[in-house]
Amino acid sequence: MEMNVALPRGAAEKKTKQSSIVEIINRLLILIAGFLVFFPQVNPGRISLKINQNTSLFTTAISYETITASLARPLRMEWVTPGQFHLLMAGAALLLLGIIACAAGACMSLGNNRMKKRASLFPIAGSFAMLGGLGVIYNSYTSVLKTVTEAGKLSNVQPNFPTGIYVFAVLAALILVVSLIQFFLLRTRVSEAKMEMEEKYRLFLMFLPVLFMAFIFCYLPIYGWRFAFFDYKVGDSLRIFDTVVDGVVTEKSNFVGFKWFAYLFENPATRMDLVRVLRNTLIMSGLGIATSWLPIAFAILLAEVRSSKFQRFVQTFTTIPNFISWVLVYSFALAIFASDGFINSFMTNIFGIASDTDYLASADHIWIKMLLWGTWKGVGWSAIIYIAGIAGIDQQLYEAARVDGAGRWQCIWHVTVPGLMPTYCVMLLMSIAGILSNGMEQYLVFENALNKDVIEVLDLYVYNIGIKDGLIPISTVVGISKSLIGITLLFCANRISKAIRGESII
Amino acid sequence: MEKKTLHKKVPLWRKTVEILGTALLCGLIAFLICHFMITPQYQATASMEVSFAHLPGAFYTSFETGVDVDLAKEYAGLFQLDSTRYNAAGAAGIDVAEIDKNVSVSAVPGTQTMYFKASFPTPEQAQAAANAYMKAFDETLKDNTGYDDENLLLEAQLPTAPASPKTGIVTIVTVLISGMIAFAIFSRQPLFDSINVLFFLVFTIICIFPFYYLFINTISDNDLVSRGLINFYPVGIHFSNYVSLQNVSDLGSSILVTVARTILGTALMVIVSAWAGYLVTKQKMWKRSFWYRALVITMYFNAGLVPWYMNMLMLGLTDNFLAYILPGMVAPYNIILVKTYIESIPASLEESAVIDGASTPKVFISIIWPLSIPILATIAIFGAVGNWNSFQDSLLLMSNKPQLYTLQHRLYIYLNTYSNLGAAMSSSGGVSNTAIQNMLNTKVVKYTISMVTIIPILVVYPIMQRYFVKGIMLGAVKG
Repeated sequence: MEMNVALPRGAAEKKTKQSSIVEIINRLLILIAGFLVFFPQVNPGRISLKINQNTSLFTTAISYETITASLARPLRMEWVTPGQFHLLMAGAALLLLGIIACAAGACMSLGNNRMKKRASLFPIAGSFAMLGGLGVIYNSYTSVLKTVTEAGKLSNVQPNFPTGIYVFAVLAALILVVSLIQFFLLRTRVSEAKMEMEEKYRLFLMFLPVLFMAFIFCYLPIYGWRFAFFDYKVGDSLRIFDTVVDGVVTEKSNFVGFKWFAYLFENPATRMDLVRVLRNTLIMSGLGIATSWLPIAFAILLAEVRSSKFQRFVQTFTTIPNFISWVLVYSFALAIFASDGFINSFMTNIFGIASDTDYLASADHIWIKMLLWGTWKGVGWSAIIYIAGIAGIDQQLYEAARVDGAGRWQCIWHVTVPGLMPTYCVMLLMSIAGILSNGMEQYLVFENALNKDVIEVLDLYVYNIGIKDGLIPISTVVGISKSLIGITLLFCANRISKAIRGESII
Repeated sequence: MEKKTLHKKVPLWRKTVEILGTALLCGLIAFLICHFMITPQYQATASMEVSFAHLPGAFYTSFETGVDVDLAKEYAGLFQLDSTRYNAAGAAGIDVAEIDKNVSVSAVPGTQTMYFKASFPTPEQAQAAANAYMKAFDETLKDNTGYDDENLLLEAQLPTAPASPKTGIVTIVTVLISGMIAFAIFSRQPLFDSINVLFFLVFTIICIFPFYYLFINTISDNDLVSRGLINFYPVGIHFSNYVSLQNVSDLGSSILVTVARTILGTALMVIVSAWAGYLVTKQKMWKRSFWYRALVITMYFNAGLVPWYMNMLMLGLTDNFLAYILPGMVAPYNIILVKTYIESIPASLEESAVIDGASTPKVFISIIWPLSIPILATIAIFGAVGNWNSFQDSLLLMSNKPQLYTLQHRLYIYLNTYSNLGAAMSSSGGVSNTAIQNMLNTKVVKYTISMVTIIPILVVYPIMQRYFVKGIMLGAVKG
């Protein structure tokens, strides 16, 4: 009996194997197509150079405003018509729908044979839709080209045959071919009675949208690191190779390798900036770490207060500042410390000392001031975790200590503090790992012309040079370095934690 | 209860002596400080009203509308000329250095007044200096512009009620006595406990005082507020500032945008977190731990501000309301919280439903969701506060669409514009007419907008308090 079925089974296995390889190729192709939707470089919808080169296919399909942002005049003069761009959007949308259909097919292909068979139809239909969409986009391109040529305004609209059309056409064709192969390979398979999918894949597919969102917003930005390797100015494009038309270089490559990394250290001005900013960052983080025991002290002292009503009262009101934004903290700071603020008017009204010092303007003691604001805002909140920790300490330990003759302070020192140490260690390690990132909001709101030199931390520096001054490559370099150092520190801290406490912190 | 018996009771008479002794000592120190260290400084404000009808036409127009800030500044600059200063110093019989140290001058465009503030040890001296200064200014004006105007109204006045040092003493003693009363209430305990309680009392007051100070300033008489006379309690209570906020341009759209993002963003975040948190508890999921780790690592690692910004640009999420909602939907920390919570729900509840043939989404909706309401409420509250407080994304992404600014961003702009007269005068050309008319009241406007921004947080705070201990403790338990 076994001998009898051995041969067909072997053949079937071979076929299954082939089919699964084809399946994987198909999924990969569809995945690539899905990613390319978000890459402006291969946007098949950029039918005019006037369309912002940061526009991806996705944006083309959903935002009429974005694509026509720089085409207001041609539209007004009727060199091009809104209809042409609606057509473009429709084409892009059709292309997107095709890709979505393909993706649905790829997801369904995780199911049983019956489902697989059904699934193989989706990419076939999807690739036709993609090709159709490309056709519509091409149509809109030719129509734009025609009207613009007739108007004689080629230089104003700059119609452009997007290379993305080729990319997507090739992808669509490949998907079509592979899906057809898959379709025929699957034909011989025996189907089950019902469409079903293994639970592990079903769960995965349900989780996929979450992963997709996380990918788009947390992992895709890493792709932005490429700006560090180019001579990029806002509005420019990135070109690894020279663009050559008829043997003449029209656009030179702006790929510069590690130039900006070297520049950061070789250029005296940026080097000095960097040293200054790093000094600020390390001092402020260092002060934060040096005072990280404050919440513990706060919690222990609060636990010593007899009246639980008073405890609750203190806890309630010292936690509020944690929930207001730094902008509001700044508003408070102005109300209290500005030249017409509380301190000055208090001095004038009560003591008769005329004073209108603006305590916020000067750069004196700014690190201490920032630390104090941070403490004001955060200490009550940070203490909560320790307060809860104290509540969790076994009361028998205290009783035992008292029986042994320990007083109040000895109880605190020998029972409470050791009980809180594990939590404190985690917090301390985390803050050491985050030594370079102290956020920018606090420093941004308190920054002014006088204190800029001493208040500018790394995060704020990146914002100032990158977003405000538009020096994208150099700020990206700083950002990359910071991210890499940060993750290294985190893993080191984790390693230390594992070695000492046998527990990881991430 | 048992704890108390461990400390020895201090006799009441000793405590009384201690308290009275401390009070007397503090009072003495306060008196000495007031008597010897603080020399009262009298402030004189001299204002000059210019009757514009007699001034040259161009000057009139520009000064009246307040557009030409530079001219106003130049005029105010006359105050600082050497001749003015020396004349005034001579007339008042004081050193010119005294004048330089004490006098601040400014002109208020659009209000037809220029004034200077000066502080002197005695009221007579202040009055004399103010008068002399005005006269000197008049002469300087004549010398510099060849322009003599009978109608220049020069007048120097002392502040409404110059504070005497006695007030200081009285205040300090009052504060001390009330402190002592508080002290006495708690003082049946050892000294350490009293100090401890006092410390927390002071810290709590420091924490809430700014809220209170801002609030009493928004409801007090605006004139008193702008003169800085409201310090501890409201005077002339009225709520018209809150009503008149509707005249502040752009505030409405900001509130709308912020409310919309708070509601939408929070709702979506909670749904996604619940769903994702539930799914990652499923051991059966294909490559579960890999995906979970990929999700968690995003908490600690990010590509950097600029790449993130370029990514948002690439996705077309700049100047777009969706940028407030979409990136916040997947919040790894909240997913961990939900996961940890769901793991604590007895598995048998879910199993029985699965045996009854319920699908995963069905189990999620009918069992997991209702059972995890406490944790969902926690993350919802935190998410809502985060959304309400958001400022950075608005600052970074909405640069071309002011109507999409969040409330915090709008407040930040208000705080930075016209933060004082000098700033308004130095900002070139961007000062509109209405802005200048409002200028004297910007303080009140800023305070009121701040209050509007805080109030929702204060409203949800009591609800929040019920949840946040739970939230933070769950977060400490590693996912």
